[in-house]
Amino acid sequence: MSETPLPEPLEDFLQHPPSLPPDAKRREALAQRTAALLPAPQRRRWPVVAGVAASIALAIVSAYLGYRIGAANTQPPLQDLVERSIPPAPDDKPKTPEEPKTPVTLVSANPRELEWAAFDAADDQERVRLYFQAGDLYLDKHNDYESALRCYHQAIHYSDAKESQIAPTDNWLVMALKRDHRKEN
Amino acid sequence: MSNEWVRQETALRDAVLAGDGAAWRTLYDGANAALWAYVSWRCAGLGDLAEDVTQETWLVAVRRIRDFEPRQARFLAWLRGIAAHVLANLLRTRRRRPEQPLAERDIAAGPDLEEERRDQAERIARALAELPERSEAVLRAKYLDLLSVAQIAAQWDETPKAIESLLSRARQAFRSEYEKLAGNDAAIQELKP
Repeated sequence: MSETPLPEPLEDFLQHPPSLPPDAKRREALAQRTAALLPAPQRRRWPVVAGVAASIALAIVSAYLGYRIGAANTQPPLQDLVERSIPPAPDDKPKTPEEPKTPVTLVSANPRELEWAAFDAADDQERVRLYFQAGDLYLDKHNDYESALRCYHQAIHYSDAKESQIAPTDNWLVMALKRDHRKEN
Repeated sequence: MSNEWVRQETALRDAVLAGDGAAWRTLYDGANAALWAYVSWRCAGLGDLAEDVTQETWLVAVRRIRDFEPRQARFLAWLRGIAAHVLANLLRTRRRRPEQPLAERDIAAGPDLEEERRDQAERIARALAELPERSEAVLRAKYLDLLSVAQIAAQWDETPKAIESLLSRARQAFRSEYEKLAGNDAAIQELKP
């Protein structure tokens, strides 16, 4: 097959692909570093799950029976029922129109999903937002400092100059990372 | 993809999820050289960029190993997908950051030559990153893996004619992306005081 040659740098790149020598020491260090990050072994959780499910079911049944017994003992007399069924006089006060509801943004409560979404985000602004959210969840809900640190670090890495300024709403970890980032740059 | 591969990689993934360091080491050693070759190619030989991408790819992989599904793709293909993503993100970031002062760069080959070589390599890496996945894959199969058109056709379950046509379009797209980037860079240079 005869191809029209491409401009020199491209043809040269294709015909002589770069082959960088791998740095054996660095590869070994990376292997060890990644091995240290392996997920913790999963334990058999079904006895715990079954126990929790049984407790919840028992609580629901007890609450239902308690409610039925209580309701049977406190039936109001018939007279009361008649009196209470008379509707109150209409209120002359004009009804105010319903206030428009503020839109609610649904946010995943799973920081891992958020972190994946940040990784896949098409633009940096969205990526930064999602990484910060994931970091907040790791920190506040899971006390997972290492993951929070990773997410915040990524968020700051992709932030523009304005976003990487320390803000009063930042938590202690974000402030510290932003300060370090500013020193590095 | 053969069932044997799926079985083997599923067993390794499950062992890694159970905290087995030896299983991780098997996956790592099995894929590392091929990943490095792929990343070096995608980074057009820019060593520092290739190092960053490889490192970040492995770190993402170990964190996300739970999401690796051997029935969908081989481990190496999954890693390449992560690497392509990481590289695209890094290239975007590099474009936004101000240029490093010349003194901080590797100027072994003289400042002008070295700078020009790096710019050219980065432009090639960007052009590759802009190509559709299939175009990049066919260029890689032909020029990095050194497969013949017939071999690519057999592997991809296509006719040699279809591969030839795809290859030709991929080369043109590569050229067009590269020239577009070169044009943009020239325009930016003109705007500089």
